[in-house]
Amino acid sequence: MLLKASRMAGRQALKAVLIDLSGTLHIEDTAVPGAQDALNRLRQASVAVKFVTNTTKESKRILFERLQRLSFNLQENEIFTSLSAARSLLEQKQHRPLLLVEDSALEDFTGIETSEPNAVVIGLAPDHFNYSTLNKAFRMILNGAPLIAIHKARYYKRKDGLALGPGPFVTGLEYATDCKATVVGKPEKTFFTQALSDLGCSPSEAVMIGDDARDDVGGAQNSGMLGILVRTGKYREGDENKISPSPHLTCDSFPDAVEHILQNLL
Amino acid sequence: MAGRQALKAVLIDLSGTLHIEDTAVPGAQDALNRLRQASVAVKFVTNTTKESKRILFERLQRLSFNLQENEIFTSLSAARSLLEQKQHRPLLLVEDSALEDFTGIETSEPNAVVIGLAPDHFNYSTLNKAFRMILNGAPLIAIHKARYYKRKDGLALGPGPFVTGLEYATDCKATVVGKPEKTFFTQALSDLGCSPSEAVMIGDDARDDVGGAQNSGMLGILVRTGELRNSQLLISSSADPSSFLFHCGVFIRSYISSYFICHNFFSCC
Repeated sequence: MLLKASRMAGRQALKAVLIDLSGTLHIEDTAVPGAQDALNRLRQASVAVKFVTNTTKESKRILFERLQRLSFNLQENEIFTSLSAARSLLEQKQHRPLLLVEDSALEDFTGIETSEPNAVVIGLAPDHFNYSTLNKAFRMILNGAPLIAIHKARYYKRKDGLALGPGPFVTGLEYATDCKATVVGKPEKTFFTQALSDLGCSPSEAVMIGDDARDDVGGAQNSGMLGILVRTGKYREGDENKISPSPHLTCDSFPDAVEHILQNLL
Repeated sequence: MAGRQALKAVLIDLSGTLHIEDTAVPGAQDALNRLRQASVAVKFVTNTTKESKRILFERLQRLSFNLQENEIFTSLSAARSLLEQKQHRPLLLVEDSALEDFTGIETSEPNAVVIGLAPDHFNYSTLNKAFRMILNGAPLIAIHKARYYKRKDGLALGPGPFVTGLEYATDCKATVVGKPEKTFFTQALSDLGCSPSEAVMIGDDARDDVGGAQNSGMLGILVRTGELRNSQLLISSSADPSSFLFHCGVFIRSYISSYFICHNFFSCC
């Protein structure tokens, strides 16, 4: 407790809470029990809320509609995804991407030129993770195309168990080509600072809640925020020991995280 | 070079060095015959995992190379030894054409994952199955970790990227049995009765053939056929950087013949 107190000393009042989606508020089409009420209680406090996700299979609109169907109270513009971050980068560098991204996520790239591609963008795209398509990407990168990873998650939770994320395929291409990918999603620092940028607060005034020790909590804490790890979704026993410093708090689920914030951090 | 013993064995890579798919490197058959006239043992060592020893032998015969099937040592041979030693039951992500080298190994209720060059198996569903087995404790065995290889239509991904991806996903390290592992080279030499300091390796892969051989104490000769790209002229291993770079097969012939005429490593280059 003494260690936590010393880390807490000097922290400013909480102004924003960033909340992961898949695995934290819901697992596929099922909400985490009590999460909707917990979110409402959080909104009654004077903090801004933003939903941040590395989910790359789905556009912002699809994510918003699912959360609405599960009775979560939110606006579409409170959602910030790694697809948003990727699009910004493509526009900034004027790249024409080969998009290894699920069809359902393509709408977030509407308006980006994709003919004669000169960059490779990899998201979570099981349909594209076959030898032939990966080989095409490999040859483009060997010829100088930059490799952009929407994120490098090792795995995610599906109804039938854990499943490979894009990370292993990005890592494989990095190994094959001796190139480093530019990663735009969690746990990159720029992802978190971009997410907070229109809320008018610094990382030291914010906390992140998520189920991925490295990507949610580790990434947030590395950018100066506090991190709360929840034991839902892809969490596995002992994950809290895989990052340093360890999470500010590890708790059972999102409602417990909200209780902790309301009682201790405001 | 000072202190090296006389040469007793030459290890020769196959794909990219003696031939590219079904075409022999020009002059290679004659060069091999001239090498055999010297008093050195010859062994053909390969990380090719798509093909069994028998298929490799038959191809080399069709291309008029002079060899015996038992002079071929592959990473599949090395993998089989490991499976037998540890009594693993493998999920074999290996091309059908290579399965005959695992005949007799029990594969029901697999408790280990073996990955070779297997484009047909490198799809999301199969890789996911392997991923879950490794998360549950199954060891990951890589026949080798080649980054890519040369096909008729250009370079193509090897098993290395997929092994690396599974290592990343599971936070586990694969056991690699093929080149450039030291054990592969020492196993290849073991029945020739000579040490690495009495042997030289010829190959087209700077890291896996030459780097690996030099790390085990052999000399390495890098040839510019097969998969060598312009940028790959430096060997990144920590071995002695005094490797030799030779122009195509033509110069290999003259180097080897001049070596054996003067019995002296130092006079070349």
